[in-house]
Amino acid sequence: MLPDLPDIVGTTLDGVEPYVVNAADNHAICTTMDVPVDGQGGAHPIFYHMATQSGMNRSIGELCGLCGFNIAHGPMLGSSAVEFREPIMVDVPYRVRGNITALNRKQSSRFGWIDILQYELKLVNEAGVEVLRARYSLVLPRGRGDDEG
Amino acid sequence: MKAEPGNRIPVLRHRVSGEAMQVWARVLDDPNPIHVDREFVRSHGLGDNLINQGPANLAYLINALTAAFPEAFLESIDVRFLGNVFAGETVEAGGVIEAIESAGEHSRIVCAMSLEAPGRGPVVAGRATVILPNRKNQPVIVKGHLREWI
Repeated sequence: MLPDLPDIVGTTLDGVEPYVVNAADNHAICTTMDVPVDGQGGAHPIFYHMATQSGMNRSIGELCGLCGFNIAHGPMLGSSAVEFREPIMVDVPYRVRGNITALNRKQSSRFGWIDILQYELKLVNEAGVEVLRARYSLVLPRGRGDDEG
Repeated sequence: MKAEPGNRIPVLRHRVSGEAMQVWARVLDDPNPIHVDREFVRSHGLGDNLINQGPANLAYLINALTAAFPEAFLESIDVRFLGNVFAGETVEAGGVIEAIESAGEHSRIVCAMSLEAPGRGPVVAGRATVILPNRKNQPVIVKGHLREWI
């Protein structure tokens, strides 16, 4: 039997500590893809993911726990959408502000039942300016309903 | 490349390696064993080789856009993750220009993008927009960060 969906919409995901892209990590990531490091101090745009995911106040495991889902059962990133207002800069601190926006359940031909967790995270610089906004969906496979989720 | 609707974003190929996954795992702070433990992948019926991190797959699409439009500002990218990419595979990132919109002194280029795995089709797909200056040698000014024309 599937557990009821918990009432977690609106839960804040505001980070406590700032996130900083350090030059070594930016260089390492760019090197794995054989792309040049930006000469104007910009981080590779993919650091929007690291900054928002690491900078929010919960790990993916803790997010899954809020949904009553065991991370060992394999959550999957379903989608990601980001809008940049400014480039992310190396060695600049940013803070994450965000919240859970939806938790829904639907049937999947592949997984049986799935819960879909949606959340929005914003990256804000020290002046309080929002530099990007990212929306994520996390797919939590529940199986056919007769196994543990 | 010339920005016109219907023009294809040149394909950028990338060979996925287990060594790179270790770097991504550290920077992402992602302990998921599917990215670093091949036996875990096999024993859980997930495949025959290490599974690449989703953000890395997305980064390949960003790289294709950057290569096509080196002077542009990436304004947005919105994708769905459709399948896994495995170590040893060579994936292809590309797309097509869908529309060009006026954005003041700049143009907004709307592109459909996809990352294709050999023999399996798209594993990441979605849409991206980049901002391009209308005139050569005109810098793209993004909220005070003056990005020079390359």
